[in-house]
Amino acid sequence: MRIRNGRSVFVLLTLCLLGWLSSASALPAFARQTGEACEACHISFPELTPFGRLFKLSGYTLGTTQLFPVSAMAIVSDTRASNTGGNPAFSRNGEPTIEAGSIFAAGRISDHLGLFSQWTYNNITPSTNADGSTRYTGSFAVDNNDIRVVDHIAKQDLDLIYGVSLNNNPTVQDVWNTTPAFGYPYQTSGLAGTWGTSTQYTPLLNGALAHQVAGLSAYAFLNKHWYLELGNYQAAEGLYGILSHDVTISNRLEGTNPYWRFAWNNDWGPHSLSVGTFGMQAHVNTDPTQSGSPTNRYLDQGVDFQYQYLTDPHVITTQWSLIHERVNWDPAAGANNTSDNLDSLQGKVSYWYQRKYGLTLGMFKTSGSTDAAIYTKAATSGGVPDTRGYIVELDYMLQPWWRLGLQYTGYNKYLGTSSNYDGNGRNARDNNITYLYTWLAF
Amino acid sequence: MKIRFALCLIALSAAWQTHAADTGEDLARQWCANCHTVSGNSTQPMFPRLAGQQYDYLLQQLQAFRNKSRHDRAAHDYMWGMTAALDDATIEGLARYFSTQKPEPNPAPVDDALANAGKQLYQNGNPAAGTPACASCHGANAEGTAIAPRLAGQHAEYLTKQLHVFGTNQRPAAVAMQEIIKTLKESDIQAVTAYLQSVR
Ligand code: HEC
Ligand code: HEC
Repeated sequence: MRIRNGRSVFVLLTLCLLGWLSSASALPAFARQTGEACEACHISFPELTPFGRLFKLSGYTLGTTQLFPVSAMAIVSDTRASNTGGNPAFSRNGEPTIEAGSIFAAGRISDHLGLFSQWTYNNITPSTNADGSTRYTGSFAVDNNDIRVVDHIAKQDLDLIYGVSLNNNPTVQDVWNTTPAFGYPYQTSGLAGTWGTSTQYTPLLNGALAHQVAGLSAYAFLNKHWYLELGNYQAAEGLYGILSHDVTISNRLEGTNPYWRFAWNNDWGPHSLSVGTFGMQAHVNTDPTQSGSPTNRYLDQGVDFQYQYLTDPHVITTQWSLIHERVNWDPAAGANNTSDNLDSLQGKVSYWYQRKYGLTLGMFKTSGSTDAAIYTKAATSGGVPDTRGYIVELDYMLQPWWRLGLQYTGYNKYLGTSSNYDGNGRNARDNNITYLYTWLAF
Repeated sequence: MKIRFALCLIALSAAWQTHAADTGEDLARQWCANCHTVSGNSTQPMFPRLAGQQYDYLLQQLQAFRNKSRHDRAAHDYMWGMTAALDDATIEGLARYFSTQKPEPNPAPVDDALANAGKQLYQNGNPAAGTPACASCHGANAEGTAIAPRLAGQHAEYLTKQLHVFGTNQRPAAVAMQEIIKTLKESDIQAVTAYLQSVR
């Protein structure tokens, strides 16, 4: 394993120190606060159990306040593209790589205030060398943040958890792992992301606003069945600047951008089921550096479904979401159409034995309008963004806080076609990725 | 500006400590209910039913989790943390709360033939194997007594797990059960737990 620069050594040392300071146990800071094992809240990090959902909805406040509510996480991996075609852009293909390390301040601050604050050192921030190869450096920036003020009314026949979340990534506050921020795949290759061979076009809600926005939303969970949330997002600037700290704004929100979430949940016997809908209306500046510049208007509407079967030793879980997006383009966007649609379907089924051995089968599919001026990377297909494929993942938990995963992502269609999508004979399946990773939390 | 905002949030929430969950009852509804349900009649077999359980037994078990003497894996994973910071008064409040909840029949289906065999063993024991009648300690309707816990309506899966735990040293307080388990075959365990789950 190579360590590229002094800063990564520093980060590693910090991680080790934190790991040593805190007893190992998925977010270890939460485990220490509640005294619970990781399995009480997680099927396998980050997928939540019914109790994990209630813990999060209660604003991370259950347990005793910790003096030092800090955790750390690191990801080391090896990524192989099925065919690099000798292209130097596929730097570090098949080389062990320290991808990223995060530190978290997470937990209860008082009876009614709790925090989940993640900061990440990305060790593979890409830039392009003169010869077309990719160079990687490290950079530290804000990651997912969710700060909550909550109250819980618990009477014999009324159970109401209600509160407000301040966060920087739409759906990061959600407790069902069907919505994008904590949806499957839980871990993907950072390198493949930098090679430009993963899915190129997905709806805005699918992470395009992550760590660039600040949202305040009010939520209520009634009798452990009905969930309602309404919120508003804005660009993370000024007072909220810290929520986009050191992140380059690529999608700047203008004005008011409502977000909603509604779900029905039922836990009975070993079963847990939820169905819901979520969505957002967003006004995104055509020039991300310019507030007040003309805006493209997005309407993302999603439906989602989750089922979990939880016993000892067998666990089966499945999550599905479908997001339909409609964008009305401002003339400044230079689109061929006045509006475009983009649909994204995502789903997976997992089986876990003893919470130790896991097998997951997943699929993803995006399809949308044909617009050569917007989907510029899909030039060969004349601007068809459609991409679809599947994921097969094997997991082994060495410890509840230490996962070894082998993930294979296959593409059947890429940017509108299965073969020769780039005009140079590259096929969709050439982008297939074998990803071996280890994930650790201290 | 940012710091003032953060301080403001913290101050606000610190001031809002009015109904902190300090009586056993509030704690039971806000915390314990997340797994055991508010009435103590959980339907998830991983989480034992507590409704109508004997007060003394609840008290002893909560103390055993707190002092970590009950140390099977689920106790360690789920209940140690729950009880670590509880004082005696709160434990008494919790035991009072769950012991006074009304037990409901367990809706999970059981095999009738199996349950009948289990009933036989429960009521009469098996003198040939040296198994005493369970009813002599746990009560004719498995409702529990001053010396042994309620078992009626409890999840068969949980009961089975505990019977296996009695074969280890992970519940040191269960002296009587550690002897009794030596006399039970796997088929006895299946039958008696099926019966107990179905007792109303
Ligand atoms: C995260 C889920 C969870 C929460 C929350 C929880 N428990 Fe438990 N509880 C369990 C599990 C799992 C067991 C079974 C432990 C075992 O198998 O040893 C258990 C066992 C028990 C038992 C022993 C029952 C018996 O028949 O021996 C008692 C008593 C108990 N819990 C009381 C409580 C109280 C009181 C609270 C709240 C302070 C609480 N529990 C909160 C999961 C939970
Ligand atoms: C001599 C009295 C006695 C007899 C007879 C007896 N038990 Fe028990 N049993 C106890 C006591 C006491 C406990 C509580 C142990 C502890 O404190 O941990 C217990 C606990 C249990 C538990 C665990 C309950 C829980 O909630 O965790 C099960 C299951 C159980 N007994 C089943 C049986 C069965 C089945 C029989 C008959 C084959 C039986 N017992 C006969 C005294 C008895």
